[in-house]
Amino acid sequence: MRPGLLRDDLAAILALLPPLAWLWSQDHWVASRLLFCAVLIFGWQALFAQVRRQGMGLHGAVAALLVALFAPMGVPFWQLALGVSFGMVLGEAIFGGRGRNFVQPVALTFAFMAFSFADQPWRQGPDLPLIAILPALALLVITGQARLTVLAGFAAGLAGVSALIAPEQMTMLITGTLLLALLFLTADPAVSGATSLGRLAYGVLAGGLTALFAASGPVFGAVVFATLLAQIFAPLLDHIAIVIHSAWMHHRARRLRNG
Amino acid sequence: MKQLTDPLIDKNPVAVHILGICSALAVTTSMATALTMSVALTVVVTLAAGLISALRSHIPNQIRIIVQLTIIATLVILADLLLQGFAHDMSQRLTVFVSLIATNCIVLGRTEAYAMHNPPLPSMIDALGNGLGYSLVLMSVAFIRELFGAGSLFGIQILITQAQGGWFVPLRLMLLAPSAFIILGLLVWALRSWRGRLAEKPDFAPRDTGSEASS
Repeated sequence: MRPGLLRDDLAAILALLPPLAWLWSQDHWVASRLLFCAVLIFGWQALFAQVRRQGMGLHGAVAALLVALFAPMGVPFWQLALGVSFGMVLGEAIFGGRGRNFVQPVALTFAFMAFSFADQPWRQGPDLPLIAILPALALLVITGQARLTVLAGFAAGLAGVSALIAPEQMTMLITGTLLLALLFLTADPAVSGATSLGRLAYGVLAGGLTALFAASGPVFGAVVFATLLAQIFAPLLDHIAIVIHSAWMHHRARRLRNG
Repeated sequence: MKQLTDPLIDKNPVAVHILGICSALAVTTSMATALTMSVALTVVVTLAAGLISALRSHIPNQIRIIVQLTIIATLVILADLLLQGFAHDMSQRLTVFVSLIATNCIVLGRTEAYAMHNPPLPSMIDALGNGLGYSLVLMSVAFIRELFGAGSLFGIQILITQAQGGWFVPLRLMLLAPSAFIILGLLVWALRSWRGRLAEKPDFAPRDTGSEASS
């Protein structure tokens, strides 16, 4: 067993069980989708782990759960296979595995699907109740896998931009799907910035973009595309945060030296 | 013969030197446009290399780029006018990209790097090889994009789409610009895995972890 298993992957898997159970009560096909995605993702990860002589974690199960949850009902399996392979290989595996990627592979999967297949409602997302996601919120925040700075920034960005462009859409934005996507796609610790200030700015950017995109489309699609765009900016925001911090430290050192 | 065969794979101008990407991505939504563009570029680069190589001892060094560009631009305008005259529909589909051959890095790169220092015949063979290397990449990308984006090749329906009563669901992404980047990226990846020495050395060596350092 990997040392990080309890800390990293188990909490995330547990957090995804309530929404999975809720969805399973609506649509039994979710189980077969999950099994299919899990086999495919672990297959890709095993292949790349073999080639690179790396170890493997359980985080593939988290990705499989997320894809199975967010995918539209009755989606053909070959589309799922294509999208998952694209997202996992080009979003994560080619960079050297989880932690070295800079976009969330599941978000990339859904962006690819939304662009490629117009015959399925890929941007729609499921209709999850808020109550099923609350355990995930608690678990991820307590284990530190969803940083409060990102969540607070996201809320601020969402509220701010919504108040500017469409105040009436605020209430219909707050859904279980938005919260789940925020927790697992936007606040993914591997890709959401490395400094506190950077994370906050990243959250504000992602939240603001989500509000902007949601004004003209489904909420889930808005979160996915806002997340992808913000994640590309996350290293730049980190860099700016570090420059600001070091300038401030220089200033402080000079002030202390000169009395 | 190496001048002709090297640019096809090992020194491919698009997949190895990453030149001429802009036009390579823009015209590859269908095989027909890609083929026209390939032929136009190959003809222009071969003729330009021959002409510039024949003039190379007369071209003053200080203004050589201007002279080269004048010759290239003349040939490009000729090619463009020929297309407009004899294949007007195709010229409409290619929009500005044929006239943009004048700024294609492959053309100027071959004339500047090779034709200025070598006799006409080797220069033309070298330029032809580079034109064919460009064409090879263009045709490969266009093959994938047209087949999976529209289910056809050269406009002939190969896979019957669902809209026409068949089974094939076109990948809409294939007809959008990002797919060309993705396909080209995968192509470069495959090429560098196959010919390992084409890959650059990593800029940063990954730091040794404790367990690896001790073993």
